[in-house]
Amino acid sequence: MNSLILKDFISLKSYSKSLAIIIGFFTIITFTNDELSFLSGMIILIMSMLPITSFSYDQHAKWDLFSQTLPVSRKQLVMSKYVLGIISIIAGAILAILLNVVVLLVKSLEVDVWYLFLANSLIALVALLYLSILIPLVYKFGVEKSRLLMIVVLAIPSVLAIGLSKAGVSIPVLDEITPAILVAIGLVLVVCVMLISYVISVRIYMKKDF
Amino acid sequence: MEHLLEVKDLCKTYHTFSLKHVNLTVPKGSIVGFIGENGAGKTTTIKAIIGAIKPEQGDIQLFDQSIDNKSEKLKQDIGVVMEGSFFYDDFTPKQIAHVLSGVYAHWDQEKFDAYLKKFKLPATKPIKEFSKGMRMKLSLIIAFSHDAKLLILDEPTSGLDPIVRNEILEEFLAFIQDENHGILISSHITTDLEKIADYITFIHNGEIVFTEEKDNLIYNYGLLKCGASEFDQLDVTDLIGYRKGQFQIEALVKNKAQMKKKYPDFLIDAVSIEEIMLFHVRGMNE
Repeated sequence: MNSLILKDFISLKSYSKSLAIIIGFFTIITFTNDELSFLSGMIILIMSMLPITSFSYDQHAKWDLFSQTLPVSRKQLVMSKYVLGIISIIAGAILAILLNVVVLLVKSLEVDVWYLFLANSLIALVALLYLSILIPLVYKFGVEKSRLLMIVVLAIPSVLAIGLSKAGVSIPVLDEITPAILVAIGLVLVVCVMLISYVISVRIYMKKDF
Repeated sequence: MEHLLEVKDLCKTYHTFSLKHVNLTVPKGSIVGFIGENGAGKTTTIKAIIGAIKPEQGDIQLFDQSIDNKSEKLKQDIGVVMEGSFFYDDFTPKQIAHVLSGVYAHWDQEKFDAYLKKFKLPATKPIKEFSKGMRMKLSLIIAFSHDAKLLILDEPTSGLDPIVRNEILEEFLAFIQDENHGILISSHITTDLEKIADYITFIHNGEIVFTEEKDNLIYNYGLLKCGASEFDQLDVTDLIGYRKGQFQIEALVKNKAQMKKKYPDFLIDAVSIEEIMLFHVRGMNE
């Protein structure tokens, strides 16, 4: 399975330059507007899209068919996409923390590492949740249709949140728990969702004809 | 173990096409040519063998073991070339080897490098700059470098120039020198198969028409030629198919020796595999 992940990273190599430029661009913006959470959000979101990008490279090369000639199982193929996503998102979160620290240091502001860790972990968890919903959709509908679904999946929670706050509904529990507990609860939730997502993806992928 | 590959009673239905009870074997030490027109079911059969599609019925055995149980393990020993499906275009042979060395248990990097040199393929150029022939050679090198015992090749020589084609055919013959090796080649370029195949399996409309030893095929079948007026003297049941020209009629017959006795006044010529294929298809359409 390591080889499968290696293959995806090599595929994404050419993509990494544009990635670096985009991240550099957002970092520079952050110097002017001080929106650190925006920078984190963008980096982690972009990184979480890497598995989806790898799906489109796969489609281009008809990798699904070719992979069937190799001594790897379909389960391993599915698993490798999840691991790729986890690695990308963790790398994104680390990069986001580092860039946040850089921005703070350059502007000689106080660096609260614990706070940065919690904030970025929370964003990373949301990204993992997002990816867990997306991957089965890509397996079911293909990567092209999923680009549209990606936006829908992203829009639904935002619309819900705005709707709830406009209606004056607030969730009192959220105001009381500390960020650390929120991250811990989030982690458990994300692990469960990811496992379910993996099982669904395997089921879809096992049935496929190429 | 007699057979490297054995396909029994394979069935798969699509909307407009179906494979019907396909049987196919690749004995040890032999090259099996799998012929048929485009869309006859060659690629579909191969896809079923590698597990890329799920057949409704049938048993497929690689090295005497059913692929249902441990196909990943069995795939260690096969090399497959499917047209148009490979690594992403930006990969170089070196990167491909890097990935595959972790996939194949018997990967031999030295062998890979030596073959790259032999075929004059650049190790660090992306494969999008490769010609069709170079890609085919790279696929073969991969198969040789992981010590594959069975090669399954879907249209390996189509679109290649005669020089590269012959180079590749020679590699096939060298590969088969080891009696534990075998090759299944699907192709509609029957002249290639005439050169190297030991057996010919002919598929038409998803059904196997025949499997025969190539030498028997060429020896047994004949092309009977007669004038249009003489055609009435022939028993139509003896003919597999025929082609009516303005003045002459050509008909494919089986059991050439027997036919020569039955129709001593007629000319019966040798026939190529391509003509056998053509007459079968035409004869069945009528």
